Amino acid sequence: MKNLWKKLFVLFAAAVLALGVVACGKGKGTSRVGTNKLRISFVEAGYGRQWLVSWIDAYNAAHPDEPIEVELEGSSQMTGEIGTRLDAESNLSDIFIGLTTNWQSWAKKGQLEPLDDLYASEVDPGVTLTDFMVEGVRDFGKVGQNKYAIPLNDGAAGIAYNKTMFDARGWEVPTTVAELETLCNTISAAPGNIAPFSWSGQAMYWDFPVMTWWAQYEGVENFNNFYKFDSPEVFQQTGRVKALEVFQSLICRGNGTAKNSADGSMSKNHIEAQMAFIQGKAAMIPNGAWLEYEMRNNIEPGSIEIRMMPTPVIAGAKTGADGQPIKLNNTMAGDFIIIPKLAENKELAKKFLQFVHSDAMSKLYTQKCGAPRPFKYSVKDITDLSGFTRSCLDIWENSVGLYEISQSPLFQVNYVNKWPSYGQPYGVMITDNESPQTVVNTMYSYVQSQWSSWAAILG
Amino acid sequence: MHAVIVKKKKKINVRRGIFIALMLAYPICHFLIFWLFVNINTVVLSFKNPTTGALGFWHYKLFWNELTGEFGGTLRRTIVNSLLMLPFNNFILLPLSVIAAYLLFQKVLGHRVFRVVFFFPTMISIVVLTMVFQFMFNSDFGPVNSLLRAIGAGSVIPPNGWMGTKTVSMGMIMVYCLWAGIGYNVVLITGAISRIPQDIFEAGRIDGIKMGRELWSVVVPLIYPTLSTLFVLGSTVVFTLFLQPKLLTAGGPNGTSQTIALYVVSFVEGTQLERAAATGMVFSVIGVPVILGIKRIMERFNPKCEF
Repeated sequence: MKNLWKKLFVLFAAAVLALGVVACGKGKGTSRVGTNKLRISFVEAGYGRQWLVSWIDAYNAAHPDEPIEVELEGSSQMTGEIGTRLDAESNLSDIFIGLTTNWQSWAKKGQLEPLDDLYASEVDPGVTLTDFMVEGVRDFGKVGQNKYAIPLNDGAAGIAYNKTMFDARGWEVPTTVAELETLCNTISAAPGNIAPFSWSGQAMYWDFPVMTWWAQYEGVENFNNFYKFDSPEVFQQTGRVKALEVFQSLICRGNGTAKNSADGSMSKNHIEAQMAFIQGKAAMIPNGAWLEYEMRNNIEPGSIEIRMMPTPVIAGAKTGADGQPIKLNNTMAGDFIIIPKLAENKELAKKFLQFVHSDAMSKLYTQKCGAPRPFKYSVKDITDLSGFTRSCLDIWENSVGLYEISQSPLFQVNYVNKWPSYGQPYGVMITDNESPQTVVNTMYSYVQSQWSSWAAILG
Repeated sequence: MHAVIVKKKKKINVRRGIFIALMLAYPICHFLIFWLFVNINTVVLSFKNPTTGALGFWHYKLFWNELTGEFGGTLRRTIVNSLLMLPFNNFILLPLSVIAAYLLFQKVLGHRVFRVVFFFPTMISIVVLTMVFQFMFNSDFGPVNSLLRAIGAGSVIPPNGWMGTKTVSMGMIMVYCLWAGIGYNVVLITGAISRIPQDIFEAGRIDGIKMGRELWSVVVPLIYPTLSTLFVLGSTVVFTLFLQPKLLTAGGPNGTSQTIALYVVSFVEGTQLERAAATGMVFSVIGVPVILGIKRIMERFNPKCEF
């Protein structure tokens, strides 16, 4: 009998403790329901956090009678954490800001707050959030009939170059792929053991120019049709082969190694590759608008000037009404802002988001981190920007933006992406000497073989 | 008098009960939340449809199709890479750890320095450690390449770099595991050796046995329980190794240094949790009996003495 009591007591104590632990996990700190407190969890990476701090300061300056207290939780790994927290319904912030991922699956599970009212609200007098967005991203947040996410940033990604080096050696910025190939030969032959490109085999930023070449060849409409994933046939687009052929001619030596590249590029992570570029070991690097901010601690002030070049035009590119190739920019936009369905202070979160999507706040964002947002505002009068940022913004303002947006369930659950089966194909093209046509055919065959299984899962 | 004693006994029993409950509460909670709940959740998740939530074998079928199909080369390579970690851990890393620990115990010249050198990596975060390791083999400023070039062995350097060459990248992960993992083993083994009574060593020395004989015939049998534990732990690495390849090579080039755990993690990062759960379940079903079998075999050879 005594033992029974003892056992019951132990079990009771264990249960109480277990409940306590579970209850503690449900939230963090005191409740924010109905208060002026917000919790924002965001990816603290290339662009830092100053833009977010400035937004909060501006909000409080504009609402002196109702200032908000914001707890900021920045982490480079935040994107990976969001899904887990939403699934666990635990440790939920009022706003999550993450990098490109298939957040649509969270919306499908009913874990996100619909933002249709926010899209319809005025962010500036007479201008709704939907009006304010550039055309290409208006469906960014759409899943089914509702909108659940707002795109965070826009940008420019392609090929950055060392302007100081280009000026000193009289190299011209190439405007076509043919000129780029000639320039690579010139750089390789020049004294000083400078490689044309520095790049990372572990984070293949070659996607940035390659996707632009693909869209240049196919045209924006066909490029966007690819992302509908209507059938496996889209994987056979000729533009994919043509774009990979440019990569092959620039980088693949044909004997399992890379040409026109800094030593050991296949082996490097993106920071090592960027370090090599900053140190002048290479003249160009496939990269994005965040390069300068990410490497700011490694660039000696006044030592080098870097710029982003408009992606050189591929032979056979689609032309506009003026007969000139259409200028395209791979925005690499995909970072998102969401509010969890179970967030404690959803109304204040929406009010804050409405405020930060005005013309003035968009300009403030660009001023603080150098990146544009996918909204209709002018960046011309923003001062104190570096030459690199200005070059990225010029490309952004004067080009048609490419966005990887898809309403296809296959894309939203991540069964397909632009490079299925292989992942990014650049490694096998270099080390296994696989031709662009083989790569594209293999991807097509893979998708074709899996299509019925995926269709069965997704109904 | 009797009533007072009974009351006192009762009080002691209640106190004991509270003490036992408090001591047991944490492990029980931990077990219930982080093992039972998580595992039941994973089993359910592995059968869940990502869009409808219905239950079925979809992701098990996808796994099987990939494993046996034309496009499963990366997955098959992943399994081979992971399996290689078993002989590496148990027949290369563990013997080297035993030798290193024995030499430290014998107080060879510079043993204090070596003790720090071996143990130092275990105290540093794996993120920092992998970065240091990468920098050591960096093509631009890494000391390893500079040294090789200086001694005229530059041709040994792989043209795509140490981490970017298919035939080398998995080997580099093993070299890293050796460099960073040996210290942990050495600490445990040194502790086990130091518990062996000195009389046994002295008796051996009187009989004139040399160091090699002493290590093989005296030390190894007497620290066998520690070694068998490390052997079992070394075997589990087959199913758990992911941070090292993720941080050193990102599983590349072309998936040639991917491991089972990294393969599962890549699904988690792609928010394909159902697929990750199904893949994890398959490997657990294979892995648990294998590890238990290894444990049983190791116990069978366990000598009856322990230090």
